[in-house]
Amino acid sequence: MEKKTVKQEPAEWLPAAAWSQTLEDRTGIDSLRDWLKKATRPLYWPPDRRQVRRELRDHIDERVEGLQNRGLSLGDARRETLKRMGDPAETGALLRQVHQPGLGWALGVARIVAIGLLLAVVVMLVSGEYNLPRITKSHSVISSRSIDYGDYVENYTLVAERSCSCSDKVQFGAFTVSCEEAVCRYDQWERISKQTDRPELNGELIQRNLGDTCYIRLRFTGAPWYDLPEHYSDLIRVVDDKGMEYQTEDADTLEKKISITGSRTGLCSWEIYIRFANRPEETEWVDIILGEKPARKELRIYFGGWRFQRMDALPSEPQDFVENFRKIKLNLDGIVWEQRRWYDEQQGRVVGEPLFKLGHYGSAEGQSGEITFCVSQALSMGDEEAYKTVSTNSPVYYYGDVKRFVDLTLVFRGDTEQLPLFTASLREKLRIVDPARGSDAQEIEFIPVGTCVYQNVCVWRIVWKDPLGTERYELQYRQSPEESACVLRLDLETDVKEEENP
Amino acid sequence: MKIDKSLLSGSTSLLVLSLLKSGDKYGYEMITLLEAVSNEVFQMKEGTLYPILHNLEKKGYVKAYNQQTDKGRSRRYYHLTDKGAAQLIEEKTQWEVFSGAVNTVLHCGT
Repeated sequence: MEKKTVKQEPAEWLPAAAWSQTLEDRTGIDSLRDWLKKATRPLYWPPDRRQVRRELRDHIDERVEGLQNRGLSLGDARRETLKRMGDPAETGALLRQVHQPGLGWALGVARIVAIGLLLAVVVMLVSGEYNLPRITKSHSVISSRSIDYGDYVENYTLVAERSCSCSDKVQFGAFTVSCEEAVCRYDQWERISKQTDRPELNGELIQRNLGDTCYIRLRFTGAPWYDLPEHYSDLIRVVDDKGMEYQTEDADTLEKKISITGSRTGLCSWEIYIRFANRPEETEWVDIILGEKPARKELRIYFGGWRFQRMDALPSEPQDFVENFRKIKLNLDGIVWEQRRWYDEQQGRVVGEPLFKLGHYGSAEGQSGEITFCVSQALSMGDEEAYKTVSTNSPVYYYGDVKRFVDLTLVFRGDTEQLPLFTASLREKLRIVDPARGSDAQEIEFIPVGTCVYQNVCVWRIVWKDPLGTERYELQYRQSPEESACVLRLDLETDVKEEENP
Repeated sequence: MKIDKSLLSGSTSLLVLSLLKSGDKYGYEMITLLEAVSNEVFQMKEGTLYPILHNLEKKGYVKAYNQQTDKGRSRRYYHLTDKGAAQLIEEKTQWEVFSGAVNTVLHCGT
């Protein structure tokens, strides 16, 4: 029998197994379409509705494909997907709470308001005032603030900032694009305990994060009926002054990597963040290239010099900082110890395994040239399903097969300008080897992140997988190829602590 | 083992923020990861994940962006913001206090 095709979907519906339109494959497709319609019908604002529908449709695509890969027929996969998606009315009601609070019955009023706003925008367009004031230079403001939450205090300190300036705004299609902010920052955030049940813990450092970020914030302005193209990130390229292009996908060259995110921030404005995975240290400027020829437009961002806050202006001296940092290890006992346990009613007891097992932490000191360093934290932890985030800039995700990983923090003091950057050049100077594997020990893959918190104090955090449970590692560090290696031996205890059963 | 839906509903934002701690993820990835790491203890109706994500985005805890795969499929990724990371710590602390109290009551007298 000749194949018949059903009614074509709108153009936005990409062909996928979930929406295959041949007659034989129709089983369940109408139910999925109905589900999508019901779930998104409560959203009155068309761009929102389109966006949500697209996202849900993509989810359904992937779920159907995933179930098919597990051996289900297309029809069964659609039915199972429908079951898993839940009640569309419930989803729609929840979506409406988020996207359209308070509109509901007042849709007619909203339309009137919308018309009023459109008229206002037309007036703004005519008067030329629709572009928000352009900030041509991001001012360096090194500051600190403290917020008291009662049982703890949060301190935020902006330690160093590299100001940047932008070239003039450009017209890109329907949008006027300007650079709102371009900046690199080192900052630190910490939480100090207060008014605890145990007075001896008051004033203890609960957690500290060291930030190290560079980003450019672009503002797109235009009429409210426009929206950013669906794949706007593909339209934006970043090329540095040496002609090297930054990549948005996972790339081997970690140094040249960016992420691009964007969203509507007002009726007539959208913001796009270009975040650098690593600081563009030796770069004087980068070009933001929008689109392709002949409509191609460019914005140039100039990076200025770093500005550091003076050491003595900080609340604590560097030595105090090192001491404070050492305190972190004392508190880690409570932070990294996590469980994945639950009470099984049938078995009548708590089941499951600890997610992390804490193996060892310790400290050591060393000297290399003019720089002294110490290990303020050496952790070895992990289990079958251990995972850990190293920093917001370089997330490290270990999952599944890793039995153990090592998390090492080194604090360097002295003429830190001699230190390599925290990027590829660090790998050239630092090696981590397992001496038990012999002279041709394979170099161990490690991930370094770090920051300089003062002019002469830098902190590195180095994490590597330890699948074999090695007991001893050697860190071989050279500042130059001619210099002999400064070796730090790290012994890891094998007898991990076990938590007492509850 | 499946758990009571009401037990899950109070902690969904904590679970979602926790999942994003290890890197940007899209909705389907979060659902499958949540099932995997919890040995399918946590199974939520998949449609209800998105209102949660959009609410977190509205509060500034996550940021969303679109990315296309090699196969041309569009995915909307969610990124944990600094504000979201702080919220995660807050909710995690609350959860630890709460679960500790529940455990204490459960084991009281046993």
